[in-house]
Amino acid sequence: MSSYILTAPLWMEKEGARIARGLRKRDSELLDRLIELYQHRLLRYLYFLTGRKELAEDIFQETWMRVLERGHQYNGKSRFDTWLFAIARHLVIDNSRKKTGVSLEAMTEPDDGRTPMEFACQRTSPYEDVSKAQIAGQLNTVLMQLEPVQREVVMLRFQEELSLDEIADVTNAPLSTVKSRLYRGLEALKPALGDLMDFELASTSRGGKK
Amino acid sequence: MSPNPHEVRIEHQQAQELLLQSAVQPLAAESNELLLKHLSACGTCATEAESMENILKQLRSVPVFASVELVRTTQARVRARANDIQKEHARTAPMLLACGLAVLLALISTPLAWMGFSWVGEEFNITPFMLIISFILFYLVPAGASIMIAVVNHRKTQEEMARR
Repeated sequence: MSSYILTAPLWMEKEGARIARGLRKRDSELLDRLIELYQHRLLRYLYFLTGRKELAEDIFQETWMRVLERGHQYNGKSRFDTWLFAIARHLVIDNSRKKTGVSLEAMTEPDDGRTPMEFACQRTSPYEDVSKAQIAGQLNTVLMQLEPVQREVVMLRFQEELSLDEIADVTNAPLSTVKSRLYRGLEALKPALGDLMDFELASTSRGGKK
Repeated sequence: MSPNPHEVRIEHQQAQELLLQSAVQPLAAESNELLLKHLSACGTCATEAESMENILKQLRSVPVFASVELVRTTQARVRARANDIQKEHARTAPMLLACGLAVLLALISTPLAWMGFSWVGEEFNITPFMLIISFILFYLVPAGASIMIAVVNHRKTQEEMARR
């Protein structure tokens, strides 16, 4: 365990340096691998940031174009994913400013043309698939009720498992702000997710009876 | 001696706060021990802790996946743009080299050219003002023409990229 702790940052630094070298050379194969490696995480982050599937997919593509063009700016000392998320975040903010002149806080207002995300499930029984998709859909609804800035830090902390310092880097916010957004986000989630767990328990017991 | 109900309520509140804190970042050893002691004695808080753990588990398992088509399209776009950039660089490198050489040659040839202009001026009785004007034009006309060609080429490339 302790040897892992000692060697992990070194490994990450080497990996970061390797990525930085490849990005400086605009290595297409490396970019292909990075796109595949971070596809789900980046899309998930963008989806929960924008709340819109099409917009998230557009910005997903733009993010990788920006990575190609600005790759020389990545120094390889920090984690690649935090740099990637920061780029994606800037693009979301740019996009919202261009379209509505509003900030990130106001951009996920309900929209008539909004396409809800389809939630995929691992192959199990058809009943479990439906049930999991329902729960995922409910969870999505619950998360979308949070303020965008709270939702963003909650997702970065608990889905992407970034440290508080890394979240502060991505969001360009002070550490104290990140913590307070997290506390408020979790407080706001508690009642809604409690209901969701009751729903899950009910689904599980129905599934068990079948 | 019965426990003070007020004290129990405060402990309960503290435990709730510590639970929330522990979800955000690891607790200090002392606080963690206090929380664990409280959880082992308080059923309500233990249920709350379990509920918090479930919430975090739920959050970690939100299944949002990128489609294969999106990934393939992105990879193709990135590759095409990388090729464009490489082509742009391939075009720019010889031009930069040519510019460097031109500057070097200009530095070497300017004193010689000025000597030639002075000789012609003396031979044909040209005024110094006219001599300076013609000397400047001798350098500016080819440079101006080169800049115009470069600008036209750059615009063509930009239009070609925009069409793609």
